[in-house]
Amino acid sequence: MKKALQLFFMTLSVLIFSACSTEPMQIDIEALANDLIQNAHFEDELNRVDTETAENMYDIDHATSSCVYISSGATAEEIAAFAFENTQDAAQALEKAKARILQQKKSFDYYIPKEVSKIDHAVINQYENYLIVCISSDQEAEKIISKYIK
Amino acid sequence: MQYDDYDDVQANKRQQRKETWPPFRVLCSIAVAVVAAVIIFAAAYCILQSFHDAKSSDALQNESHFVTEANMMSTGVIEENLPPKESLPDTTADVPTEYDYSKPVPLGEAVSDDFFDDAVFIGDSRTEGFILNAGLSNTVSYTYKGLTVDTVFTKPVIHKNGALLSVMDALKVTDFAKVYIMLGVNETGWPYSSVFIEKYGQIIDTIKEINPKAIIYVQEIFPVSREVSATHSYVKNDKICEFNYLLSEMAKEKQVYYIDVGTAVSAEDGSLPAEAAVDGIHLKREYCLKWLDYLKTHTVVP
Repeated sequence: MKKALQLFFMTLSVLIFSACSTEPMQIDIEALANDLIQNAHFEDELNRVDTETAENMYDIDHATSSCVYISSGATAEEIAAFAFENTQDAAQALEKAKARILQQKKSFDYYIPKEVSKIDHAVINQYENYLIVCISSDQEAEKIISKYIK
Repeated sequence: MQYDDYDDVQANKRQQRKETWPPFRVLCSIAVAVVAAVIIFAAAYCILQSFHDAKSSDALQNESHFVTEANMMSTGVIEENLPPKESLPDTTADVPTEYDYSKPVPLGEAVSDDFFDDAVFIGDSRTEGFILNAGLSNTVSYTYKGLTVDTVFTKPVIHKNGALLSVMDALKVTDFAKVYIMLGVNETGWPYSSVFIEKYGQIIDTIKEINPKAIIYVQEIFPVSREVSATHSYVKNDKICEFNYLLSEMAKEKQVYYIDVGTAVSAEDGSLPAEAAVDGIHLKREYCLKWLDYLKTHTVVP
């Protein structure tokens, strides 16, 4: 019994100390978006939009920073990287991003159906305080993003 | 518990109350009086506030009367069914009296970006891309991929005050003084051009009903690239030219402002240059900025 208790407290201590020592994830969203632009495949010419336009597009108004690239409208291609104060804000933004991508799918399904497969393979992920979205013509985005998740 | 026990307990409580420290009873009385005074104050404030709100609401209804009336005349939609209007339209702009509507809006001095603060852009995917790529985040964009002169009335695609509305219903609950329209490229496959222009005319009429003093700009339809025109199943530059002629005639008849914005982006042969768009239809940012510059230098001064 005594040994079991010792083991329990030791495990608890390890867990507490490991939790305390975990540093929050830091993602350089500018570098990540730039890497995606350079190394993922896009058929369209993507251009960066200002913060206000990015927030309007995603219906987000509480990001601490953002880096969003859009297409001309000829394709569904898009890159969006947002940083937030905390994970709750990022989680809220994730839901809004999912809603936007769903809306995009609906409109492209009617207008340019071939773009739907790109949307189906879109990366829409939350990484702690960050939200990353990428709609591209290939499957490279996941690999590129994984380099920045530390 | 027996009734006798209960009586004993009550008798003890009464005895305890009699023995309570006198100043404590005084303090209790003061506390009760203070709470009562707060409640009376709060009630009086609420009554006064509701009276004030009722007066404000009456004033608002009087000022927005023309909007409500226009809505009911045009579609039969009762205003109560729509989300609340954000604010009242600025109807102070006067339409120039001696304007030659048979000609496109002439070149003028460039306005700044805030000229579009009170504007609404209505259009399809081309306008959608324009608003984003030109960075016009200060304006209202009622755009949707594949939008036509028909679906502006029928398709609920605009998120407004928590509801999904058609473009024209959204316009009824929007504060605006200017409207820019570019529609038509998706309609070039329609068998009858007369249906296109008739529907377009209905848009103009409805906007005038919603806000009689709004300045309405009809933008000509951009051409597509030579390749698209030659290979697309129905989008042809000849048809776009025909629609643009009909639009200019309609603008003259309905006395709205026609902007020959196609000249801002067209090549010498009248088609869209190949480098202007990835797909020969949707403009790249560089050409969106040319479009914006053209609009800024082709405005009417009230």
